[in-house]
Amino acid sequence: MPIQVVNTRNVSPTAFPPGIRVSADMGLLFLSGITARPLELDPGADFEFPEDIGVQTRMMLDNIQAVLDQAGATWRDVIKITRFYTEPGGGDVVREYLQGWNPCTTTLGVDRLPLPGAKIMYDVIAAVSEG
Amino acid sequence: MRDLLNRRDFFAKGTAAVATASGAIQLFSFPLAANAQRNRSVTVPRGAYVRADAGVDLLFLAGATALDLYHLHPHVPHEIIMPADIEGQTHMVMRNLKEVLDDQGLTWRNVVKANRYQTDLSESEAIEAVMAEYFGHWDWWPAMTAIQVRNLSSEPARLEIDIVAAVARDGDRA
Repeated sequence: MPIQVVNTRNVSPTAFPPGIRVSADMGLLFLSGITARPLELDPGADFEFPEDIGVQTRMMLDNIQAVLDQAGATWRDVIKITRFYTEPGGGDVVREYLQGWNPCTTTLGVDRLPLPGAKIMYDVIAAVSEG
Repeated sequence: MRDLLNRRDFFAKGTAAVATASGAIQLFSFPLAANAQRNRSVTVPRGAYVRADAGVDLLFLAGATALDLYHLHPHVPHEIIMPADIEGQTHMVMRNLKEVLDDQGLTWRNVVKANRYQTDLSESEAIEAVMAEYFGHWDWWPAMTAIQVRNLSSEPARLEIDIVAAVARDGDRA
């Protein structure tokens, strides 16, 4: 089985999984930490992050979606998300994109993110079939 | 416990794992004592790297705090019960992780990477002392990163750990 969701207590599959096992023949896709900043912007270009974390979350997820698309992957292939945020919020937006799929997550409140004004950043790992 | 911690100051050991082409993971240990001049690994600090080649399954674990492994989302107050002391919290984190390893037939020796997220980095020594009990008192120590964060997924949580384990294809332990 390429991806096995660990379920140690036979609980509802909608619960967040404590682990996901990826078989040796799968490729792994590691994404950089991605914020709401549009990916096509030049590194030096001005960009003002929207105040609302829900709006930021949606922009960030669209960015991640674009990277997944380019790599031929989908949200269903995402096995691990490390979530960094400076204030809570955006959870409902994420569920929209994941559409019932639950990757492993680690959620961390931090004081600052690398870009001024950024309130949320995801670090994503996906497992993709080779060939 | 105190003996082990004191001894470590003088006689720290590093570990590194190399997976062979067949998917087996071999453990290397190297001494860090200052007089170990002939050992090229002497410049590599304890647990600086672990290598796992292609041909291994990887098990990614969600970050675990002292909260019960399965809990409601969003979190509900009546489920947020955990010890206040960092030692107790570390034990509960490690037990949560162990439940997942056990389920997959793995041991701590399969763990190649651990990320520690702490609300206070000054608690690192106490955390590592408890972790060492699980990792066989320095027989094995994964590559590890410790980061201080402002807050974790529940108010009383002071430690969250997520790990990656590597599994040789034949199912053997590392």
